[in-house]
Amino acid sequence: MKKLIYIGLAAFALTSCNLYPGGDTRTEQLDVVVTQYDLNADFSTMKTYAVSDSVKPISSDPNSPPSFIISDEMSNVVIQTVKANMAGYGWTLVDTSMKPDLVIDLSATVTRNTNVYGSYPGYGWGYPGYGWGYPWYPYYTTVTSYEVGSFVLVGLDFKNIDHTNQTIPVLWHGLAQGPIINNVDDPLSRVQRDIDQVFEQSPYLNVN
Amino acid sequence: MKKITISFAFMLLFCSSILAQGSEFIASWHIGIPSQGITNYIAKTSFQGFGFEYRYALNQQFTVGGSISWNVFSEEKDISTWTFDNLSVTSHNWRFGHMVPILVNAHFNPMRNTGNPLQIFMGGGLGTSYVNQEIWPGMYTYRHETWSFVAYPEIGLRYVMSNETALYFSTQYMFLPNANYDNNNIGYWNLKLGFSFGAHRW
Repeated sequence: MKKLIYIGLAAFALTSCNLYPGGDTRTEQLDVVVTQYDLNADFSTMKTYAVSDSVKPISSDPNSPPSFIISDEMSNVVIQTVKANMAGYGWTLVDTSMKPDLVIDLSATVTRNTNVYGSYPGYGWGYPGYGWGYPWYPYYTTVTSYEVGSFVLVGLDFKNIDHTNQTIPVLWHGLAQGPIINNVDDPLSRVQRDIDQVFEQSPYLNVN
Repeated sequence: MKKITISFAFMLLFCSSILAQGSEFIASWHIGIPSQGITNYIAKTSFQGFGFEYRYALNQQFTVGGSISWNVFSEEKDISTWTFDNLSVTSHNWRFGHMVPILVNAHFNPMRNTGNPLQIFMGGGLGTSYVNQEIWPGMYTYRHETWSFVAYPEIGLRYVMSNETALYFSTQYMFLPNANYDNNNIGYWNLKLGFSFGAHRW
């Protein structure tokens, strides 16, 4: 009978293992890269492009200026990574005055995400909305708040500007997004890797 | 501690009452093997599942009863790219699937009360199941929740250890039509190892 109890306890221990990502999650594992293109765009007929000479900080609140800056070093990494990838895809960099086929606008945003978790410490689950446990365990509420940084790359069609409605068609855009953590080992490499990924998952830009 | 004692006392009372009825109460550990629908996003076998079942003996060979169980599927996928039409997303992924079926069941045990401690049984059940599927790409969460009809066939072995206790080993295939996040069917295998309290030789 004792053996059975031990088997039962072992089974319960196995089923109680923590499922959800916790403290061992690396920051870069939380990064997300998203790209999208206009299905009507024919990139194969394009050859020239221009790119912003800096990354513009954009406030998430349209009524107030951005509360952050993008360092020259960071801005330079983004621009050089864009240029390297576009060159690899066969594009020629020109000045905007030369009416390029594609103009890549670079910007950055910072937003704050706040989560409220409820959990029963002592059980491995500790997961928002679940917290399966027993009533005699104290229920804890944890609030986490973190900043999310995004680099936004927008490919604009300057040759088809709608002057009447004052709109510029967007042919492609890329988003590299991740939590802003001050003690990341090498933030420049992280940004470079994410911008590289923006192009890697946009093979339709390859005009070679 | 007091609540544990009270709960345990209720459990003993419950077991005593089912003993009197010649029926049994089974607590089981489930190993879940993903099949249709689930394998689209989780391929990993789950060792995180358990269930509770009650079987009432209608006669010497047939039982009817009910059960509730919980299977948790999970898998971590390293960074990958998913493309949907003109949209591509790259991220590290955590994926989860929770199934909580609440069922009525019926079983046929042709060797019950024949004196043989090792008995085969077969049966099945139907009911409803809570389904929660989550994909966590990076910082984000995509969640699909629904309630679904569920049905299952089951076959297994019952090893009677004493007048009050038995071990169960069985396999069942859980089928949940149109319950997947993409509206397709969900299916998974359960390997169940259970311990039963009740009247096994009445």
